[in-house]
Amino acid sequence: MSPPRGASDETSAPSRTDGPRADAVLSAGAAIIGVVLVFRGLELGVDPAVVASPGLAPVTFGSLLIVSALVLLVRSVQTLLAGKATNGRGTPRGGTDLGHLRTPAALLAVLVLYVLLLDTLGFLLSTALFSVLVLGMLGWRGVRGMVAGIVLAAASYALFDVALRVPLPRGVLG
Amino acid sequence: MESLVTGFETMLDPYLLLVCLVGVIVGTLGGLLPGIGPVGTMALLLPFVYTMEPLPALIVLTGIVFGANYGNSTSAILLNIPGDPAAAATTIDGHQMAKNGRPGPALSIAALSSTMASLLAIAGIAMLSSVVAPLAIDFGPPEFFGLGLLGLTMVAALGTGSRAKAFLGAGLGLILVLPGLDPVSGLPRFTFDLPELSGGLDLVPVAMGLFAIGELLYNAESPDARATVSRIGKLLPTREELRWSFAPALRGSILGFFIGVLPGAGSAPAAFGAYGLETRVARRRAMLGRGIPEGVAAPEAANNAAAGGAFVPMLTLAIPGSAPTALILGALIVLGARPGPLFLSQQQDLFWSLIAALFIATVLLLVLNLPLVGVWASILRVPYPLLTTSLLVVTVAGVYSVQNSLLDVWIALAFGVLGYFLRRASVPMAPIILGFVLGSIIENAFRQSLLLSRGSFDIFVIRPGSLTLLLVTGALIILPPVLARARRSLTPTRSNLGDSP
Repeated sequence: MSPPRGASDETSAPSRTDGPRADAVLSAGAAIIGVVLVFRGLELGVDPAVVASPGLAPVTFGSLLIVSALVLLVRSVQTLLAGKATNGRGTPRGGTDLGHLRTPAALLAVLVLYVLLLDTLGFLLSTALFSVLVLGMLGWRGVRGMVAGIVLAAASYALFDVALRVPLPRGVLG
Repeated sequence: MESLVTGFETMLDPYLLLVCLVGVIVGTLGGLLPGIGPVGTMALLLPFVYTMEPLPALIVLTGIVFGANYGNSTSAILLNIPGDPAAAATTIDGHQMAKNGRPGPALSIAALSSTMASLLAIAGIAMLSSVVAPLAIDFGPPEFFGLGLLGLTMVAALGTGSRAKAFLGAGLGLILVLPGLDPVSGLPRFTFDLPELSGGLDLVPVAMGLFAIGELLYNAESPDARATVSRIGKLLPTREELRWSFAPALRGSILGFFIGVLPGAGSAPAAFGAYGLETRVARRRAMLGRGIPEGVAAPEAANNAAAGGAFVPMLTLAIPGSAPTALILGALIVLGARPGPLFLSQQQDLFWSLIAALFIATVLLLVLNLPLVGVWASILRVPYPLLTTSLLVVTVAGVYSVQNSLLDVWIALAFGVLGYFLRRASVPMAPIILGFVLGSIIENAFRQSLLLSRGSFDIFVIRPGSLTLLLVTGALIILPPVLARARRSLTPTRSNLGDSP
């Protein structure tokens, strides 16, 4: 049976995944973070006899991260080498096709813009702008997207600011 | 018994009943919508939960967990897309029943099996918690350190998929507790000179980033991958279908509950375990996969019972057994409730009110789910662009509202990006959130243990409880790969069977 689409919970195995090359990059990145934590922890001081050693947790957790990253790194390198040995037959996708990143990257860029404008324009205006842009990006362009975006902004403002009394940024509407 | 009656009396408060109703409705919605699931729904509601007292907070969060386990079967049966992995096993026979023209009876069997399992699980929580809590009263910091490590190891070791990635996720979760003031010395650590980080990373932006934003970015890769919803038609199953469902539901409930009690096992393995059991013991096992009620009843009962079972270690040991209970534990700690061995004795009212709330939530779910199944199905027709945009707006506003902080929103965005790439790399999210919640428990217990032993690590091995827990943890890490290697080497190959070409 196929794994669930978009499933994110405890045991999900996403259907669109990167290959061992991406795993190698991920594990190398995690190992570097672990090394930084260990070094920083050592600077903070590690002495089990001194209970207040603030470096103890960074060194311990950083070391655990390094070990788990190295295990994954070894596995992914083994998979890559095995793939090369069989001339690449049956190897998972290496993650070189970046086309799948387009919509998530655009969505993220609009999210960043939204947060940047949140204080200046205020929640209502920035949410309307954000909603219209995202709806357009996902296929709701023109009048339908504009109306839906404005209604969505007004509804979310009513929900948070009016009904739940959450003080949201007012921005230019003061 | 008297405590239970008091619990029900507490739950007669209209506000608590309303909170329970909201929890189960929102949970059903979250479970229904593919990709949201109980954890995503809880993450979305955490900002509001933080403004509540512990009891209503606990009721709304548990309502979401139970509701999501009902909702996830609807999309599994009607769309062949499980709302979350716990319902993946239900798609096998559930969607086949829908294709065979019996979506209504499949939904009814799922709801009835879930109800039966939830009621048995609630009884199980009450009974088993009363047994486990007194045993854990003598636990000291070394034992809690061992329990924390065991919980984290189990979630990484028992999940499906790559163990290496699950352990990496657990490691990533652990390091998230490092920013903030050192819990013993009070010295700042990894705060990057940002005073807002001196209190450490908050659960809300981390959870909403990883689960809500990360999931929405991930789903944005293929926004049009949506199926059409089947017409429901006749709802009630035949007497024959009910008869075939009863024993699998009972077996699924019992198996699911005990799998759920194991820290880290979760609802999805329980559902697949129950389905696997039916493939061996069901009288009509040869027909499984062709759309028979047994294939719906067993996994649905198991995933609901497992969700209930996960409350036992969370309430009695403060060790969450799953990602949803990790979020509940995190929220309860923030709100000042202290789950753990003394929870039953010191916060009896809270515990028994929770049991009563779970019972009421289960009844509400049955009452809501069967007659309103058409309404739930129509929600599956909400256009994807509108749904995604609404959820992103709610996420941003929700994160901002907790502390009126834009920094929290930036943190959520950063974790959203991390969650997206980790999903692409098939790194499971549950070990990350468990690592985050358990990290501070593990660190505090570790350092308190060293305080007791004046810096000697012997304290972890001279106490039988701690030693046992550490040995089990070590076995969980070492044994599976060793056994797998041994199995591979013992498997007869073509060459040693002498039939090589």
